[in-house]
Amino acid sequence: MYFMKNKKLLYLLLLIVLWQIISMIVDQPQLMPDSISIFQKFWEEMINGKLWLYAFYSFAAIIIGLSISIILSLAIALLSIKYTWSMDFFKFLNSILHPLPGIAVLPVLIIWFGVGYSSIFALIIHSVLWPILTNLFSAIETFPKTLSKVGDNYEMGILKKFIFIYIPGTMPSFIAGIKTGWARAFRAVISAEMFFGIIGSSGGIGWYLVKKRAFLDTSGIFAGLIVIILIGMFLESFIFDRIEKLTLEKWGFKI
Amino acid sequence: MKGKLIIILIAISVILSGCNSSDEKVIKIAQQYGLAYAPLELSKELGLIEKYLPDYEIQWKQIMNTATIREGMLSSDLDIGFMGIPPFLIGVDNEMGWRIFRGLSEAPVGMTINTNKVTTLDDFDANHKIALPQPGSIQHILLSMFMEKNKGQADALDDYLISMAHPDGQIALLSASEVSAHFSSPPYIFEELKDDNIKLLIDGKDAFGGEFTFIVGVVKENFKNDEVIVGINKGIDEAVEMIKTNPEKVAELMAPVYGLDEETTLLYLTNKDMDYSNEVKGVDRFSEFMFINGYLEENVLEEDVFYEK
Amino acid sequence: MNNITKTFGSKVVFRNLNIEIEQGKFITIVGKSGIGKSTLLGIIGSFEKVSDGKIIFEDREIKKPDKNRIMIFQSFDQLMPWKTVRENIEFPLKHLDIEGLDIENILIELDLKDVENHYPYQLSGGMKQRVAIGRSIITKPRMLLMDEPFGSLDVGTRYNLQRLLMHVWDAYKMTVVFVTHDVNEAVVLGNDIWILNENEILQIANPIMKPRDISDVNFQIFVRELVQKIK
Repeated sequence: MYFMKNKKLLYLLLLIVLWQIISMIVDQPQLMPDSISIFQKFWEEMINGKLWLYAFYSFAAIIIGLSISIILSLAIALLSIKYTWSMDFFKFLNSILHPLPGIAVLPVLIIWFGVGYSSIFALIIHSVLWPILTNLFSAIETFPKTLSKVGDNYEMGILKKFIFIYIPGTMPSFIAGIKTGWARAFRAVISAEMFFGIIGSSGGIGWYLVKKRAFLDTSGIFAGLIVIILIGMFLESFIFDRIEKLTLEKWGFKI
Repeated sequence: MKGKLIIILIAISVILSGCNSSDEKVIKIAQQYGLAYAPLELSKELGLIEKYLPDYEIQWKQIMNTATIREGMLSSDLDIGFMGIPPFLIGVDNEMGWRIFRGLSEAPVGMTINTNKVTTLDDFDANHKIALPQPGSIQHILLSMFMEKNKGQADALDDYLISMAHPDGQIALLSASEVSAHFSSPPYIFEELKDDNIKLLIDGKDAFGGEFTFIVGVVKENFKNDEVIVGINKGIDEAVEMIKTNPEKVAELMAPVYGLDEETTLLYLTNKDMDYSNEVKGVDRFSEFMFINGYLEENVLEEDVFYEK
Repeated sequence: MNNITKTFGSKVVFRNLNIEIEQGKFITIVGKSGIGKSTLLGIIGSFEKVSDGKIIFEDREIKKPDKNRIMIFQSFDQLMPWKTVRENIEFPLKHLDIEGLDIENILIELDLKDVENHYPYQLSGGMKQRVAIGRSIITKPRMLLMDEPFGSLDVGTRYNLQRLLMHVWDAYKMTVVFVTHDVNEAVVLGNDIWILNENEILQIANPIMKPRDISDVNFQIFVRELVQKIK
């Protein structure tokens, strides 16, 4: 593990050196700023508090949108366990809407919800809900009947069965759905912010990129990209990995 | 294995060299959309530039925003672009080698408000936003100039800006959205003001404190080619002349381009504040303001950015 | 006394079948595969709906599964993979407001003490079924319904679990209905052996005295008699 980490660090270093050499050859900072000035810019922007604030806005929007989506998907799953028509209906809806990229429905969302946070949330929900549902539905369909019968045997109602048997039992698919959904949401939010970003104090990282672009600040753009990469890595290797270790790996779903 | 690699390398070099050689006789010009670009539309329609540069192929590219034009010129994908003075100055400030070779038009730009939503400058907040093309655009800088003059703070309304292309901004202003104001240009501003609820709150000329050129023509320094610049200028000048002397004919040609009827197009083209000419006004004033308020790191001087033979 | 009456109308599986299960008995059900042994068990446990007829349990008609009649399945996925052995066994007590048996005793009796903190994926098949038995007895149900619980185990494990089940039955005195396709197993375990044929149930008292030994001649003769009766 330690060796692996070391190797990654080595690759990172190699990448930075390579970048530095190429940027020195190109010698056009608007096209390719050298790595030192990118890091300088990144540090500067972090220190004076602006960049992490932008990142925080995007991140907070995603977390809130993700939470709403999770609650919604659970409600739909519950309904679908109880009634077959609900499963059929949402599967149909899923087959229509799932393939639609978030950015493609954005114009419609803007017309319906305006240019504020409601549109961003609607966009995140669209991006996250369908992958989660796809995974949840297939998990519910292949869910062991015996486990459900065990619940019946102890006179558990549908809600109790859902909370204590279905949710933990479908956890692997659920987490896989959230992972796909999160990646989609992150992309969607950044594109949305770039598309109709709210300028000023309440804009996200996408808006930060728009501003840097408008003022031809290429190192600034790279600083923004670094933040996006860091957020992605943070969620992937800290949040999701940890959740998986605490659940799936422990339960033997994934070894 | 080695043979394959060589073949691939040859193929790549052939493709690359193919690109280069065809580049020599092509001029790629980028413009945006709006009434201020009418002479360009006309030149394109009538092949006026080709008339003076018969040996060249002219490629027109219509691009939605200035940042994209700037990036295209940066990557040498475009040779000539038309844009507002502030985005040009931002490029100069960031060491982009480019110069202004002519003015194109003056136009009545300004900020319109929907009076159902706001009535004064003090009414803006997170629920009442101002649509404009992008930060650093001429609209944004004019708004900042107006705010500095009237409220003593250039970025007083910057928190309530929202970036929108003009057609979207127009729809948003008229609909029941958070967008309560739109800093735009013709024909959008003309169309908006037809609505009873829409009022002009900020006039661009007041904000600037005089006349200024709205759109200028910009060329990359490494594209220095007097023959081409002269040819392009002649073609555009002819179009400008035609707008002045025969506006009816121009309106007939341009109406489909702007999606308006001929009568309206004629009215807009001959608006007293629409002025097409090769003059460039206002570079120093823009530069000074942008330098003082931190949009530029250096005060760019007019004499340093004009194209010279 | 338990009084179970069932009548089936439209279904072809059983027609107007009447059976009664006496309390405290260990009944094993054998029959050809596909004849409906599991369906019958499901009906007793109310997991399967009847098309016609009634199920009476202790003088009351019942329609839904309940904690008095606990089902144990053949498939291993009846355990919750996200719970340890101990948590799996305790699971019913967490959701029912009743006083159950002592978990420590169960763990010791079923020889699960060493693995109490293991998760199901770490257990052998036999251990998993022992956990299932532990979970089903902790609530002291009146009746255990077992649907070929040892069907996927190897011979040795099966033998051990049969001994263990007899021991549990002796200790807790609940009624057991045990479905199996293995006639030997039926004879080892049951007081009564029911042979399920098409539209009839032959109820035969087990004449072999405990401990029942598979290699005993009388045992083998009796098994042969039973096999001939299965149609």
